[in-house]
Parts: sequence; structure tokens; C-alpha cells
Amino acid sequence: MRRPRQSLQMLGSLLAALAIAALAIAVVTAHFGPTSTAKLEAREERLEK
Amino acid sequence: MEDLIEELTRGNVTEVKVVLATVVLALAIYQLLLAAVAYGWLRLPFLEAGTASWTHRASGDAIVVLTILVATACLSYYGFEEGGAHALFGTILLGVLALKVFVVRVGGRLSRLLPLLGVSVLALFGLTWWTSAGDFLGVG
Repeated sequence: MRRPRQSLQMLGSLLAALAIAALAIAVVTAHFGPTSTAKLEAREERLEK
Repeated sequence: MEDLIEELTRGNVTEVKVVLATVVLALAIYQLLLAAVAYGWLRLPFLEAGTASWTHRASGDAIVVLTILVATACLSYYGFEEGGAHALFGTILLGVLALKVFVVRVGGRLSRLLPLLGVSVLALFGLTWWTSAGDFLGVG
């Protein structure tokens, strides 16, 4: 297999890093759920009042 | 500083810290792959050693910036005293990371230490993440 041009390799490896970062953000934020903790706490406080 | 961090994260300091720390850990694992290609330990048909080394540097710069942001948020918002194992691993991590950056800049014979320092930094990233973000996400 012939290696792609160096500029393409650079672009590809940087895009891979960006994809890894985006995947990590997606997985962790999905774990948190759609509502932030601050909003949940504020809602709990309102309900308590 | 505490107010600034709370304002920037809109009250979600821990969540933002967990997301950024997870990004750093994921990129640190990618760094290991890039370093293996750069040193010729792993040969990929689509990536040359020189390019892998260049990306390793670029990605490493991003990791350093993110690590400083997370550490600043952690220390100024939560402090050091009650950090336990997380604070200990985090402090050692910052020291070893600073040493690695120094060795990269100085070069020469010290460069032989880079693989050891790199693996140590990855292990410390893992331990620091495990004792904080891992706990928070229920996997630590």
C-alpha cells in the first residue's frame, strides 16, 4: 500500500485526534444526561420552596 | 478565581472538569499510539514516523493546555487539602509533565528518557482521572 502525501497524513492524524476528543465529549455528556446538575439542583430547590 | 470558574462553567464545575479530563485521557492514549509509530515500534502503512512525531507534538501541546486548565479549576475551586490520592497523583503528574516538556526542549542525551517519561505521564493521567472523573462517572 502506497503511503499518502505527508500533508494528508498530517491532516488525517489531526482529524483523528479531533474525532477522539469529540467522541470523549459525546460519551461523557451522554452519561450526564440532557439536564445539567446545576439545573437539577435549582429545580430541586424550587420544589422544596 | 472561584467565582470566575463557576461563571465560566455556569455552575457545572465538576461536569466540565470531568469532560475535559476525559478528553485529555483519550488524547493521551492516542499519544501512545503516535509515539509507537514515531519510534518505529509500530509500523502503519498510512502513517510515517516523522508525521506521527509531528502530530504527537501538536496533540501534546493541546493536552498540556487542557491539563493546565483542569488543574487550575481543580486547585482554585476544590483546593488541595481534601484531594487525597487524586491530589497526590495530580501533583506528581504536573511534575513529570513539566519534566517531559523540559527534556523535549533540551534534547540531547536526555531524550533517551522520553519513552519512560511518556509512559509515566500516561499512567499518571490514568490514575488522576480514575481517582476523580472515574469516581464521578461511576467507573473508578
